[in-house]
Amino acid sequence: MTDEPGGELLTRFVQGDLDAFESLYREYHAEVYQWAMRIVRDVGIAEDVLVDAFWRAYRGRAQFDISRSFGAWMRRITTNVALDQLRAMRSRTSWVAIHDNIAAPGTLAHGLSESVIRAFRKLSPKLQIVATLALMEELPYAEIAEALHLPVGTIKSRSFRAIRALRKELAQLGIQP
Amino acid sequence: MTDELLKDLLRSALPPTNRQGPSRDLWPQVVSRILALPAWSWLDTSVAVGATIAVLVFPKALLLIAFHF
Repeated sequence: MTDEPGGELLTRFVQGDLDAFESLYREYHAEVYQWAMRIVRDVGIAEDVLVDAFWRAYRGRAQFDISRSFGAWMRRITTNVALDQLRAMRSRTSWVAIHDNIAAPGTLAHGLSESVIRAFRKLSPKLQIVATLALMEELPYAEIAEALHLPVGTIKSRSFRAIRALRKELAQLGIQP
Repeated sequence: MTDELLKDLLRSALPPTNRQGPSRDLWPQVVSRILALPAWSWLDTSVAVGATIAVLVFPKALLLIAFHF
């Protein structure tokens, strides 16, 4: 993670100084983008998440406590924005079908890959985000809990529910390896 | 199906990308969102509608207002 910025820079940011905010943007934008990509797994949507997250950060700057980690605060905002994007994607039928911008599937046969993506996209956004971070990215539960601002027990429970729902959905699609 | 197999299926179907950053500088977009004029609120709209109705119902009120200028 990026080194934490100095207190003076953060104070100027909280006061609304746009130059200070640009310095923070330059320092953190790659980290924010990579985190967004891990969740939404779509190049264009991750860029939308990045812009929206920094806009929300500036709008909510008065709530930022300069004694806390700016990186962790940005990660939490980015997670919330990404979750909103997952909700929006889910309401679009094209996303539940198959998305064009998604990275090319790895070694799976096309039909199987399509079924897995379909099953995954049928999960609720809350389960999708936990499934992505816990199952695919294999991040520690504590790290996911911090990003989602939820107790670790809730993350464990959602991870379990996601696995159960995926198994059920894949079984309905005839996949039971 | 084991958890590991399920994870492998997911990772193969939705592989991570190696992009380290956005394809272009998005700072100008962040700034334009920050500087965008706020949209009309419901309060603004209702005041405008109320004023229009008042002028239509009491057109002579315009003369009264004009008198003060």
